[in-house]
Amino acid sequence: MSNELYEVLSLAARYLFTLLGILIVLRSFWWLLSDHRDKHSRLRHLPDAGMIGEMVVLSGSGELPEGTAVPVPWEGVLGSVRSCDIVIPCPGIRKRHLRFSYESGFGLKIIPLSGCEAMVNGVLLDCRSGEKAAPMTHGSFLQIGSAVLRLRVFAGLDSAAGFGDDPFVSSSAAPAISEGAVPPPPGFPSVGIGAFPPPGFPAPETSAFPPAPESMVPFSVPSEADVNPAFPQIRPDSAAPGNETAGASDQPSRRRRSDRWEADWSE
Amino acid sequence: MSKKTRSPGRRLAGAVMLFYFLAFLLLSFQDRSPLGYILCVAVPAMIWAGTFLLPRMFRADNLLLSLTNFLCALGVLVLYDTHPAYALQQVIAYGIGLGCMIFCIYLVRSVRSWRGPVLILIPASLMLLSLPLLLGKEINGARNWVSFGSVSFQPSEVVKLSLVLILSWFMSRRRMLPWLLFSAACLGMLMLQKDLGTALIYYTTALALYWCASGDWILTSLGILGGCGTAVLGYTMFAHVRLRVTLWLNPFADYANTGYQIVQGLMAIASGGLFGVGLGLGAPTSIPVYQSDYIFAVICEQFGLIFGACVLLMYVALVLRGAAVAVSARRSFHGLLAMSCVILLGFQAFIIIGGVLKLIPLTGVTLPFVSYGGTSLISCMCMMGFVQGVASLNEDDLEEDAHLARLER
Repeated sequence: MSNELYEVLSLAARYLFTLLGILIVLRSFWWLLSDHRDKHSRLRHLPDAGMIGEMVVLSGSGELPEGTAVPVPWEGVLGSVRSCDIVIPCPGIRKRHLRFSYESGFGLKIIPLSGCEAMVNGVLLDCRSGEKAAPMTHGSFLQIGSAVLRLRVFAGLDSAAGFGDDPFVSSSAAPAISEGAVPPPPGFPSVGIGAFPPPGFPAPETSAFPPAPESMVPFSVPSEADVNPAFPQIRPDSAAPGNETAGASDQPSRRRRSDRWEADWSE
Repeated sequence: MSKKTRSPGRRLAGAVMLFYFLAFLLLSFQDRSPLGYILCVAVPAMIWAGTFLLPRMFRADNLLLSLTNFLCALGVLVLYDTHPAYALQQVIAYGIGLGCMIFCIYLVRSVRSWRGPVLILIPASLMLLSLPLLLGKEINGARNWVSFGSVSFQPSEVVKLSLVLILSWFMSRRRMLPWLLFSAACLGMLMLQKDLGTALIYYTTALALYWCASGDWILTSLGILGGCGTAVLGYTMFAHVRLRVTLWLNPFADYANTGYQIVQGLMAIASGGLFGVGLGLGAPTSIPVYQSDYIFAVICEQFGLIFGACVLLMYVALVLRGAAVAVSARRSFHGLLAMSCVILLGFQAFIIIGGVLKLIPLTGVTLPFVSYGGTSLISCMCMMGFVQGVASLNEDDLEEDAHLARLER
């Protein structure tokens, strides 16, 4: 091809290349925006995306009344300042009090930060006592400062932990899922698990935990603001097969959380 | 992958493949080299493979892949236009980079605990950074290259990967002192090598990541002030820093000597106008270091300012998409890792494009994905692999959430 012909072709093609460049940029940004909208619409139908459960406040403060359900992400920091992932503005809780992270098959690992204390199912965690971390599973209690919280894990998440040789877990901290009971923190009356809520505590407004299992009343549907498609709906006639061994599961399995509640909180 | 997300990917990839097919075909008419015809088919094929085959393996982010492939192929195109031998090496590096990106995606998806790898990477990175001081040769005023026989590489490009991993891990654990010490050690060694551009990138990445992790405006502002103070100190202490600033203020004062590169770049951009002088025309090789630092000036000369703005916007889209991936991550380490990668890439693009356009003093860094340089390209592809790994984990998590929600209905 002669140089003159090439020059004509090249000069003509530069407009095409510019047009293609603009087209590529416009399509890229349109794709960016449409994916952004798609993601938001998906998350609208999954309000608990990114969360592993909730911590229900059994004892709080004026800013955090009893019965409040605080969403729990996969990992983060719990403290009293707004920049924390879980904010518990109660006396005795430092700005950044503890770290937590959820691990499948293990539970929600609680690690108090330096100089802070926490109590998980009656076991004190701090640097001095030698217990530096403990797992929380569904129904576990967490006491920090003046606040007492109880963890509710969403259905389907594995939290039947194998605690055999895990260095983070002492035998006293192992939640007694297999025994069907989780010891309440000190200072709280040791009541039959079926008699929830414990005496002295009003029933949470959100009905976060089911009533006495003898009544076998289906889990009350929460209010519109608390609708959560990931929360289980207890249906007595749709109990999962093999539910009689729900409390003693050795292997993590994606079962309905509602089935485990019945087993955990039965006498 | 949903149908809705497949359509924009196909249309975008189609436009990109058409662009490169026509561009390489046009250049082939000029030199009639078989390499041109091969690249005419090979480059669109690699783009197709990178855009459609990879997502099937890893649920990779298609938009990020498309943008990455476009920028890498743009570098190959411009190098083929100016120096065909460089283009061939760049294609090989592009292929290796794709493989490294896949490996990095696999790494992010499979490694559960990064504690062990991070503890190994710290001394390894410091040793790598010390190599140029011991064995390196000075090129263009900076002692940041190491040669082993015919193979030479820049350790600071490799250490970027460990930098993002180490900073992200320590910040996700809220352990500020170790990352501060590591960052300071890296910066100290880069200053000794006189690689101020890379030192600036490291510093800015660490500071921006600190702000992302902590949200602490006060300390971040102090860090910015500290950086400005260090820059002023560098200006007073180092002659080459003063020279760079003087050239930035008035490159025409010494046009024939120290200001030659900047002036040639500006004139090339100006001569390209809005639509460029035409692919294969003009005189891009008259710009010193046209294949590396000044490749953006070559792009503007050949394709015009509008296309140059499009390239800039592609970097913006890359950073925005990477930031969206980072924000959606469930684990703080993954979020910080993705964020650090896009901050580093975005800032590097900004300072070299800004230097070429005389917005800021020129620093000797490469344009990510585009500039000639195997180490740089592979390093950028690896960082993109980290981001893609986080994106694929995000997709898995969202699908699991949707599955759990369906179970409860």
